[in-house]
Amino acid sequence: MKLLIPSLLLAISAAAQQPLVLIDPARGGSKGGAHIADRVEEKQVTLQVAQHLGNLLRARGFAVQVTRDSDVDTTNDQRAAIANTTHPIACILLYASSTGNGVHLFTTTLPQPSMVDPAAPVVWDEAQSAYAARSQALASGMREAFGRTRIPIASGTTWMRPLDNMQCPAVAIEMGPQKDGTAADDPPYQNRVAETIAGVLLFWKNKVGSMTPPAPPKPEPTATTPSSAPKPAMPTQPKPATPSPAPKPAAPAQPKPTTPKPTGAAQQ
Amino acid sequence: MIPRYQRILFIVLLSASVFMAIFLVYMHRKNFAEVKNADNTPIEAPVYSASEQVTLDIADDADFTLTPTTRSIALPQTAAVRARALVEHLLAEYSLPRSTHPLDGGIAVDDVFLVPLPLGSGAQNAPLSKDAQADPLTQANGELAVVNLRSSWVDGHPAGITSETLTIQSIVGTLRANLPEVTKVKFLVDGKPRDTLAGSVEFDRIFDAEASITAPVQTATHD
Repeated sequence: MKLLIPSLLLAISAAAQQPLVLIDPARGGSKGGAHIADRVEEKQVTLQVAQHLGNLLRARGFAVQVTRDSDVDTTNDQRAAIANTTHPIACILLYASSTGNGVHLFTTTLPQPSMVDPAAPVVWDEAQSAYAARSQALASGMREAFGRTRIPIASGTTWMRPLDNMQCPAVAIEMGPQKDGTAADDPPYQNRVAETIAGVLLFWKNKVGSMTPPAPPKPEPTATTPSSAPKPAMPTQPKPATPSPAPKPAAPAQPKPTTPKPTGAAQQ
Repeated sequence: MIPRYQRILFIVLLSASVFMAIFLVYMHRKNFAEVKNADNTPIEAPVYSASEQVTLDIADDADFTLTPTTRSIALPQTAAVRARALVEHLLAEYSLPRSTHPLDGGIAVDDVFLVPLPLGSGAQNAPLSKDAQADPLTQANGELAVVNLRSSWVDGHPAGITSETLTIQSIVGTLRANLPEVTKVKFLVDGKPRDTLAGSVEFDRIFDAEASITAPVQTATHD
């Protein structure tokens, strides 16, 4: 008994130190997304890849948080809220498409601010801004890793929710068909993509440890926020699908207070 | 002896002929008078737009690139109509079978409006409210192009980050390349903002034309 308690505490401590990766399979529920093949929709493909990637990451010592693990409707705000409350070292957003060629990587168009004021409220639609440079570094690592495979790779920036609302290094990965006609629903193709991502995250885990994380922003209560003020990006809990009587610290459904300037550089 | 009914028929036909002759003369005189009194001022000669070189940012889904491509097309002179014609030509390219960014055909653009920036500059000496000052359109220069697309076309747009991003960048880049005064672009669908173009990429924001152009990989010329 005396030995069991310390070993249990040690195991809990080790689990708590596991780096967390957030996987966000796109679509779900009523949102089927793109038609990948006959009777195969994007939501099925993204869930399959997410499950496979999750297993690979757990086997490599990561803790994994998925925004959906079944065919359910999940809003963009709910996805971002999960990311912003769990503080993962990387957020992987999975998409699939019937156009393009190979894998396309996307990061935010938001520019990295030169200085981050920890006391300033974070604008919901610009939450990714403070992580733009690290997201690009993560995407760069993935581009190199995919470049070593036979999978065609392209990368660029885009304007997208929930990517722009996430407070973590985030990369959206879209699987398109390959030149030989292999679609994104092909299991070997999915496995290769998942294994490549898992391999990159192993390196990223070591790299992110040496980076100084930006100070967490101070959540701004709604009551003190003027109606025209920017929305805080740190809801304390995922926004429920149905209205809750509890006061919410952020109101992501409000109109955007400002228009972020896209950096807009698609790369080959 | 001529039967009675034939005589009656003859008289009726003769009366009809005389009536028609009188009516014909009357109508002829009336129409001739209208022509005689018509405005003989020469009408304005039709304006023919000569073909000119324009640059279309053609998207390629395979490698996520835009290629500035020169086309020779006739465009109207009015800026807003010109912008609409440019976008229509661009989107028509994507409905061709050889397109590298395949999209549905059909009429895509309802209207394009050009709004001078900054907003609120017309109000002389009127101070802007705090909310208005926070609006970037009250601080920007140049022109805002409001592109009103048809829902019938937008609803058929393929879903996917690559396809949606390239469509937006292609339109914004083409407007900027041919109308340098356009600095911002906003999209509407049937006159209303829409959250996403086809489920992925935000479509309800104002796009910065000066910053959204992707790096060209090659320059092609096709007439």
